[in-house]
Amino acid sequence: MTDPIERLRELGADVTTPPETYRAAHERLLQATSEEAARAQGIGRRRRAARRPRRRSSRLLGALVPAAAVAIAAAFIVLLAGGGDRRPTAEPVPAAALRMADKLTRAPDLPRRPTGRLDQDSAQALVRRLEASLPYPPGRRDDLSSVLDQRRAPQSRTFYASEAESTAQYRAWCSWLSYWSDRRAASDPDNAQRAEQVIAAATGWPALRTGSLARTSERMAHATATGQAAEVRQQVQTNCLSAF
Amino acid sequence: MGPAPLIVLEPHTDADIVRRSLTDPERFADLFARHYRAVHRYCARRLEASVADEVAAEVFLRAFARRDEYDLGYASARPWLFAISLDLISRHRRSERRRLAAYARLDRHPQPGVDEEAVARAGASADMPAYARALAKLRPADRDLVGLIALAELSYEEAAEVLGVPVGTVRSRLSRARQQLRHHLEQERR
Repeated sequence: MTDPIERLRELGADVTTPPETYRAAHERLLQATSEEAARAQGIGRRRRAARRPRRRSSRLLGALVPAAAVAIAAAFIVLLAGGGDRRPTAEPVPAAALRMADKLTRAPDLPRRPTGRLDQDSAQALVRRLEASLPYPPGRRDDLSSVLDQRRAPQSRTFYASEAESTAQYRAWCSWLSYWSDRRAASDPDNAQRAEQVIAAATGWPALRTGSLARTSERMAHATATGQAAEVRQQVQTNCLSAF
Repeated sequence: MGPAPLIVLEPHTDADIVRRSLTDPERFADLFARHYRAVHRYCARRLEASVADEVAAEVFLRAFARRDEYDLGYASARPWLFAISLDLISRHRRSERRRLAAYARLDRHPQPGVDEEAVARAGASADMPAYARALAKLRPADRDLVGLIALAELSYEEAAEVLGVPVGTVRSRLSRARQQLRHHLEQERR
């Protein structure tokens, strides 16, 4: 006897989707997506307006001044101790990373439609610019050119600058979540706290301040601020590892 | 030597599309373009036409609304979309029974024009009514599995993801369903 599963497959093979059915469903989805896009844009503007640089700068400044004081005090203690304590310590998060994170919150919105069609040389230049403009945790860099290589098209296809920006920001944010988890697990509260500041600032980055990612980035900022390590780890494992 | 080739940064995987749709909701339409026909075809094989149209559209609306729950570790969204389809189809068991009954009646009471075109086409096969009756005798959960493999043409691994069970369980359940189908079909032929 014929395999009934195979026979069923043959029997159902000629079911087609009428074009009007496709169109009707497509229109319903487009309506939902465009409504959310409109909402997201409105939310994005409000969120940015509410988050003026002064407030963030003052918050970062407020964090940097004590951090600098702690660093000076630590250096003083080391000097007094004659450099006797030579335990290896993690490289501290540089203040420049915090400044870069803050600066990104003032970057304009990413275009909703892909823009910036580039040839390969220009794309590589863009990658270098992106890598230089994004904050990364100590010892961690992103190789965005590998992302582009993965997506190299055999024919004349298009590279979109706006999508590269979005991808690069998302990946940088992921690297901070991962770093925060690692530093917390390593009982390195200073660096974990600085990572927390970057993650808080990231809620205002163009790729993370609108749409559903806005909710996720806010949730992660809250999770790091309140020490919910499991939630951050889950986010990294579920939605960040695939980004690399 | 020609111009340097351009580089593409277009979504390659469904996960890319879903992730990008988080910041650009309208990108989700790309996922619709990729999978709507397969989802609709599956629904149309299991439900009455009008219900299938509604359910297939609802699958994508629901997927869109919940895309931030999508596990971006999965490159293909097919299992996710079919899991949503199954959930919605489970709310229309009555329509599914009517659909199977329509198929099953075709050899006894041919009713051209009464049921939908798809039923008539499938019913043109002499086997279809017997298969419909055999399918109707399966447990709904087994019918779901058979549908995923035979109608949606998912791999065993994808079906396992949809149902949230190990692949070995899919194999054993499918083997049992196959035996039951054979048994019911043999009874039909006696």
